[in-house]
Amino acid sequence: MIDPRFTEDERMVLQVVRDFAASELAPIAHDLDINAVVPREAIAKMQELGLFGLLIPEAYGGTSIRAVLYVRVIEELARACAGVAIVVSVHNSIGAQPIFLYGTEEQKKRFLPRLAAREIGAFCLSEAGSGSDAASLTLRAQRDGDFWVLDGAKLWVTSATQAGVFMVFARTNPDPAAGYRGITAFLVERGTEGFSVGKKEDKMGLRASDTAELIFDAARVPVENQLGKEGEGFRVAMSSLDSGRIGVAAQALGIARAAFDEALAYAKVRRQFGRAISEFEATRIRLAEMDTDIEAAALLIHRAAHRKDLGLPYGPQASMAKLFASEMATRVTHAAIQIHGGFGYTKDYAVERYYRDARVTEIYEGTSEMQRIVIARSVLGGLR
Amino acid sequence: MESLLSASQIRLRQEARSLAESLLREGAEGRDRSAAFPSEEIRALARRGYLGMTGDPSHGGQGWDRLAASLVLIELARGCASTALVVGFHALVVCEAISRSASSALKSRHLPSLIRGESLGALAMSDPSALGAPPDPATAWTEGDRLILRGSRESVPGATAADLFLVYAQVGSEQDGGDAGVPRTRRETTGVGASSAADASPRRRALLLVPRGTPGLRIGPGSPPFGVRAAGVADVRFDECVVPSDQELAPPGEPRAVSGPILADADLVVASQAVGIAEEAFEKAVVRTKERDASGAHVGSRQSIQWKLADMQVLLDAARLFCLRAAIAADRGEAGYAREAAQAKCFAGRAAARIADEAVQVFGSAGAIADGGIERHWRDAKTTELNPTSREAALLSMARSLLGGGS
Repeated sequence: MIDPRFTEDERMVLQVVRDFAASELAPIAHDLDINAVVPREAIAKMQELGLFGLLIPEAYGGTSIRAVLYVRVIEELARACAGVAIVVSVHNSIGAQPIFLYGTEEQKKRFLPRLAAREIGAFCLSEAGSGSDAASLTLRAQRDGDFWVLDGAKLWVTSATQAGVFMVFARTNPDPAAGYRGITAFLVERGTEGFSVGKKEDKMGLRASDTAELIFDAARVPVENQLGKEGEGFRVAMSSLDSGRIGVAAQALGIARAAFDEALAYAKVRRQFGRAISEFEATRIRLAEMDTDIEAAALLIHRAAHRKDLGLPYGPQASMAKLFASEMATRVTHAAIQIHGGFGYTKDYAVERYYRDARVTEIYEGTSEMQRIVIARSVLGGLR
Repeated sequence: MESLLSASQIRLRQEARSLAESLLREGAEGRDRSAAFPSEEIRALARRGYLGMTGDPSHGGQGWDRLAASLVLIELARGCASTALVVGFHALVVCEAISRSASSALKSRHLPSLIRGESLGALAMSDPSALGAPPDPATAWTEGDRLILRGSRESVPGATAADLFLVYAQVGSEQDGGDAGVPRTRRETTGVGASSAADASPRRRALLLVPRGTPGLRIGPGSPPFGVRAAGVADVRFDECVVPSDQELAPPGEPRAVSGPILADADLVVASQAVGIAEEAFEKAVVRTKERDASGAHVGSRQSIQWKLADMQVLLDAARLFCLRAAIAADRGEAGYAREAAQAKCFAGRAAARIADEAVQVFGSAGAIADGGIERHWRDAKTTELNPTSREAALLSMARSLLGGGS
């Protein structure tokens, strides 16, 4: 948790990721952001490097690295390009991992090697009318022989135009009394009849990842693609998000570290009143506060990851890491712009992108408000 | 967090927790009100070896590592923040400084009685003008085999009861009265670490042990601060105080090598104290949320309260992790210890102040009442942002390691 002592192999993984991020992602991150382009070549290279099988066991083609290393990988990618980092994070933590945790042996064999090698996984929970209140989702699934027929739409799906496998949460029991127990998870493959990608969002940040609507118009999903038991979809979604939240926290941390590095470097060269602004006490204190803020997030993230590695419950700890890291990233990127002054408000400086990229980490995979509810519940225990 | 701790660390923490409960908690409120020093309590802790918690077993110490010491201080601070502060400075700062850099003669003169708790050590560190600046040394000069010490230290915890003061001083020549020849402004711009090449007189930073009763040493009165009121806080003055030269701790050398380890340990003590205060305030707030309000609903059923609890919990956990990390760095002998301890202290102090503040808020107007059981934590917590140096001073020292230079 405090200082994960990595093995030689783990160190190498981290070094490979760092080198890749520096040489392949950092140079294109600006253009990807401006043009809102998904870097397919870079993603193919990351697939070759094994970055899409990080939480998949070797038996199914992945590498199954420890969570304490996984968060470092996401952090390093986010430091170079937060858009690419979220593609990798969503794929690994809430795209592929639930199939290993909840899938049948047949499903694992069918899907995991593909996801580890060449296909991107997507997670489809939110709808136009259900965000934080995920249990109120309305996408309907009805049994028809050996198929489930899905009708409705999903929103905010990361990698929607790129993914091959979509984990879709649908209502299989329309009785309002069933509530979250009426939800079931399905693995929907690209090319499924009646399933299509809708409007692509024009986002504020993370523009190197695509986010779009999905439309299900009597989409026919074979019964063998049902993930987990009928009515247990909500549990699959929520427990997957525990893992996803550590990834988002690590992404926020990476963005903040990048912004801090830029601010530190800029403060040393920018001169006003006859000296570098890094010589002014206000700047120095601000940088030290940013550094402390960043380290606090790093500690919370590593604690959550460490608990996951030990097989301990880590839901509240993941929420704490995500809540703090995402709000920290907003504070740190905000301060980084302030240190840059007017230059930081232009696209000539990367801090402008970091600020926009950081913002959504307070929203997706559970808003800060939902994290506070999770944490407060763990504090209050059996109150009410 | 548990997974990082050894069985003996967990046992020590448990013992400290029980002791805080049986020995410290009940009387803490009363000692705070009357600003009464916890002499009895400290004697009881001494009998159990706590005053020599990190001390070398060959001198009768317990030999605990910093991690165990930090965990123990957190527990003691939950019972009584004043006691934890005094014991922490005594054991981790004064005893450790002597162990680290005193001559063997000086060690055998002072350590055994300090470790047994028969005499109490205090750190005379903070300068009256130190807000935002690194600690400024008192001034001293040599006269034969004696050092003459002049200056004052403000708000020294444990001062009213201490038998031995650890003083950070600048030793110069008689003519310039230590460093009186260096204009204040230049000292500020060059910083404690920079030696002034323009000044011809040889000056060095030193740590001196000044026993109570030394001629010229004046303690108090000074009014008690609003927090840690039982910690025996008072001003200490050195009116041409005469200290035998052999009361100087050994390695002069690089200025920061003298003050650095002292500050790091003092930061760890205050960081741990802050975590203990924050835990206590937080737990009281949680208990309060399980009560019912006038409408019959649980206080904690409101989102305005839940939000506070969530934010308090996150800050508390991060503060704990900072303490743990700094203590582990110390135990591993890592060079980054000083910086991590400063960071831990900055974060934990701020976190404690905010957590205690929100805890008062959870209690509503009942939280502002003197015997409401919560406002003491609010006052105690704030002192961790001023002690052993201000938060700003700690941030600036961190900035120095990020950026170099500066004051």
